[in-house]
Amino acid sequence: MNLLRQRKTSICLETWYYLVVMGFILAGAILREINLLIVLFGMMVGPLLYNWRAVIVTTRGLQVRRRTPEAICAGDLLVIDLEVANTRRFWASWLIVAEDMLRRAGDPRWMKPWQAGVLFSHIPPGATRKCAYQGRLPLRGRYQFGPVRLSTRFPLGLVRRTIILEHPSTLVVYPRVGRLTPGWTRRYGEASHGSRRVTHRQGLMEGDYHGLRDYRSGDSRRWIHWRTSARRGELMVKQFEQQRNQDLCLLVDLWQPPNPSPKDLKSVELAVSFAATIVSDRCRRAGSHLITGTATKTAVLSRGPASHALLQEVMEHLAVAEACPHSPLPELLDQALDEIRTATSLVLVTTRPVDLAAAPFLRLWNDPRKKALSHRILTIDCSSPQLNEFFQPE
Amino acid sequence: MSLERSLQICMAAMAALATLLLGMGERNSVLPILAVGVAASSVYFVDVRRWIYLNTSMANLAGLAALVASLWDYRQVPREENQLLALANLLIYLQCVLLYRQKTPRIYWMLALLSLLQVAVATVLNLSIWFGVLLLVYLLLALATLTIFLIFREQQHYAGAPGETAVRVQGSHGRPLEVRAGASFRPRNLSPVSDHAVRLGVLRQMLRMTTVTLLLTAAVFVFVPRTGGGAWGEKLASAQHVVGFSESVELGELGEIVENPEEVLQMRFIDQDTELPYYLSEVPLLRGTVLTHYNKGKWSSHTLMVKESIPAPTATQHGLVRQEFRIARLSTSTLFAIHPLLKHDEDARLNFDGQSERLYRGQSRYSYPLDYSLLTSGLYGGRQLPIIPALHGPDPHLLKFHLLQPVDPQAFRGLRQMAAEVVNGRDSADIVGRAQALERHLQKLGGFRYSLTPPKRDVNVDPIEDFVVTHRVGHCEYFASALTLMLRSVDIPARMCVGFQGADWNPLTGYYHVRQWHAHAWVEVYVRPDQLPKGTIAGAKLQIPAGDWSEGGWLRLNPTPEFEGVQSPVAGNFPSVRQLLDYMEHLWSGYVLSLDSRRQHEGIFDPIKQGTAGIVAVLLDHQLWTKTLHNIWKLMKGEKPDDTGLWFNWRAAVITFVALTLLLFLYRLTTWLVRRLMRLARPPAKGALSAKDAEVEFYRRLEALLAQRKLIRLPQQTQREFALRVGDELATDARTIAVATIPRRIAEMFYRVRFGKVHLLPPQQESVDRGLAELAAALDEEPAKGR
Repeated sequence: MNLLRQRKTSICLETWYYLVVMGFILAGAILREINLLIVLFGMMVGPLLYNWRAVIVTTRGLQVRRRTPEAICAGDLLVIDLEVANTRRFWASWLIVAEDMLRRAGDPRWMKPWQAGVLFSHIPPGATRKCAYQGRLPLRGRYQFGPVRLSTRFPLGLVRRTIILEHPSTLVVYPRVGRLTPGWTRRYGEASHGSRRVTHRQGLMEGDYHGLRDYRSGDSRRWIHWRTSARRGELMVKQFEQQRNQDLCLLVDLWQPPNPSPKDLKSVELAVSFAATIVSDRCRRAGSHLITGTATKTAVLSRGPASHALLQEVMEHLAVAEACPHSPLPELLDQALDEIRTATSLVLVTTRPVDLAAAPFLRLWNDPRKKALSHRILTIDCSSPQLNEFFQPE
Repeated sequence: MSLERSLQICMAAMAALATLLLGMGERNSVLPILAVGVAASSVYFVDVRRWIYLNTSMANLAGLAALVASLWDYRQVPREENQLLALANLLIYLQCVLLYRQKTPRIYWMLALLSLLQVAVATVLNLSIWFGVLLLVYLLLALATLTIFLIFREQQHYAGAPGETAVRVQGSHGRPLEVRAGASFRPRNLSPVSDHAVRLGVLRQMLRMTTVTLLLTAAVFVFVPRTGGGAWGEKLASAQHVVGFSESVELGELGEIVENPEEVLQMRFIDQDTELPYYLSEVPLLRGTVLTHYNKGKWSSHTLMVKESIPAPTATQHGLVRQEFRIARLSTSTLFAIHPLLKHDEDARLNFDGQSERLYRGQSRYSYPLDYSLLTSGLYGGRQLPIIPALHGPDPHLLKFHLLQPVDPQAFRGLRQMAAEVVNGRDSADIVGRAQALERHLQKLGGFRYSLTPPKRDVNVDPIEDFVVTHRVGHCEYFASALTLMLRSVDIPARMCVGFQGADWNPLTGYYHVRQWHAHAWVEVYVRPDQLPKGTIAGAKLQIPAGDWSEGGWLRLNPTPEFEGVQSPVAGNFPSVRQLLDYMEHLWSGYVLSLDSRRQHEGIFDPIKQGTAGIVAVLLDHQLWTKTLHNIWKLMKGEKPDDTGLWFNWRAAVITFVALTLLLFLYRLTTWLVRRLMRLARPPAKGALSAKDAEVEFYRRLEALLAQRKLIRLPQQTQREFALRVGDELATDARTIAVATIPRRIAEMFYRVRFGKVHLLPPQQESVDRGLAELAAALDEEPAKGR
């Protein structure tokens, strides 16, 4: 639903010249009483008034709808559909320019929003037309769309009518997802070496539902999908998939100095991207528990079975996560060590060299359980070349 | 044809047409040809082929040169109208320069404005109906051009290429988004519409726009008040070269007379007794001015102008004909009519010189169109009387030095001899007979021939002597001059009259149309009362009518042979093209050019006032309403209404129309008000979901929490839409941005539980509770900080 915020009729720049000429003609016509000049004046007034009336009528009853993807990753192709509906019964709309605003949340107010303009040549009465603009947003974060400005100058370009429709929506741009190198798998394996593998049986029966296939001899009758079999006239069975994956606790420490250099900023983005890639990878292969935590201004911890919902939740956190000079990493680590089981792998992605034996962490190791787990923490410093061993950004 | 090519052609055509209109005003045929040539060549060489074009420097230089040339012209000719022409020429030069530039939207706009300015100047210089027709064509062309220009500009602005959809993305501070995003943006055409439909639609819009524009133009023209001031028309008329009628005749200098079809006046005759149209059966002679003094090929009027009132008809006078004239702009104050004149209405604009019996315009603005009517006793049986009573007998001075101006025996030896030979043997007291003999001699017997291209005359001989003796070929001025001098040489007082003879009858307008080419010269002979013929006049076969002949009379003689007569009003059943054009001209000059303050009040404002007053009076007529309602009641009961008069009354129709319009307006107003009030009175929609399932209680908590902050789900919103909307709202504030995702997460949970039959697991329940707590905390924090 569109809320009309503002409507405005304005004179176009060139029209001022037109008005000046009209004024001179009227003055000459009246002062000199030249009837043909009055005729000419009338011929100039007519189009101006018609244009004024036409733009008002043309923009009346227009509804706009924006279709945005729920979320995309930074750098992915973003396609925004703008759908303008002409709800009038008799009057078509011509040359409607729809201008959409796009602003990144957190950007200072003085920064003008991006504007994307789309031209609808013709919208018949009662019809809907769709146009789209597309591009790529390189930075993660939350973007706000709207309002949408619909304007037209048809048919002569003398008068412009603009209606501003309040149609806000937001788009979360997730961090860029890169590629995990074989080195990551190796190190991850080393980190979990010796741990007791915990398997989780997923699904209601023998595993997660995967699909349907033809019946083969030996298949359990319980697996038969009777409705599909009846429809196809042959026996079809449900196929299940059992996955066994290791639990993982991923902590992201987004620290940056008070006056960050471009290198620091790059490290932060690499850390976020790396974490997003790990989570994405884990959630794609369901079957394990995942605990993720980010140390930004506050320590936030999420946990749950690896799933699309969790991926969404974590990605949203990562999308808007902001680095700060006082990252509460010890608190985060404390919370995480409370949560994890002994068999859970723990990976700390940080933007700085972290010494776990340093003073801020010492109180953690007073707890023998936590101390026992500390040796299993894999720390990856994104500001060092060490990252290249595990991660390749896109 | 591409849109841009259409625009280029339309713009060039518009520029050429504007120059054509200007050329019409300047009476310059070179300009339109030049404009068409430049416009066509610019389209081909600059726009299509792109072979040549002026760059900015060259265009600036050319523009400067045009300005200098126009300033030079401006200083050379001090008269206002000529200075206007210098300005007009500057516009043409600049237009030519712009046509040869590479076209950008700015150049297109400048071309459109220049053409408009040219049309404005041309409007001042033109009066012809053809200008009106071309102005209409210009309007259509301009509307089409501006529409195409707008489509072109919008498509170029948003896509750079024609198509159904177009896109333009701009980043902050005017930078393209691509720069910031590091990627390209391009349009995606999702819903194409056929070009045919679009073109048809644009055409319909054009038609609608043209109709509205014409109606508005008519309204503006009719209702813009005329002040009655200004003198431009006078200057314009004096600037026009009027061929045909002139108040003085200069023989020999005139050379070849160019026939000018321009209309001078329209006239019609009405029988004053019966008020029926009065048709003429022979050529009328409309006298303009009277010339009495001849000197070396030049005629002039040397009488002292004595202003007096036009004589009024007597109560017993019958057989009078009313002559009504509608005169166009002329460069002379002389007015034309059939004499003798009698007053019809008091008209202060008409002046009359009793001595020369000349009618002229009283006000100085004689170049403006004028309507006037007069009575005459000079028509009888559809014919003009050959002799009319003199208002004043000529005084001795006038008689001796002008009407009987001595004819030099040396210079006019041949003329005198010929006159003497013609009248030889006739009774010297028979003035009429002798004069008519001389008229017949020039007209038929003397071997004279009418021609508009007289031969080269001997410069050492007076042109009239040469005409009579050597080269007997000439036009009406030669014939009339020769007859006047011949009459004077035989002591008959005579004068030359200049005016118009002939007219074109137009059944469409009901008027005789007199044109410049009807200009004519003839002779009038003064006949003393004692010399007046008794009974009928020879040749004319007309009885001398009764009247006051005490001052003598003026006998009309027309020595010019072979003159075309006036068209009979009954000739031809179908109007010819010429007559149609005349009719258009009649409307144009009658209703467009000559609509002044007086006519506007008489023809438009006063009738509207009267009509409005009449309608108001009828609307307030209590008796009428009572009677009407009574009749309606009777009709409803099946009885015969009281009033058995006309079943249709236009007043009643108007009243009914006004009343119904008012009722409709009231109905619309009432429904609008009711709708508004209902909207205001409607209770706010309940945001709570009517879910009975206890498992979705968490969602109800969410809605209750949000409702405290006036975030209420509308009836048409789904839970997901509401959550998204709330998330967007929360994301706009830095204090709540952290919890912006919570409503959507909870909504997703709600869907899973409500429709997916899934039970929340304890960790999920815990997560929901935590989310709701965080949301509540953030929402509580918001107003506290705000305070």
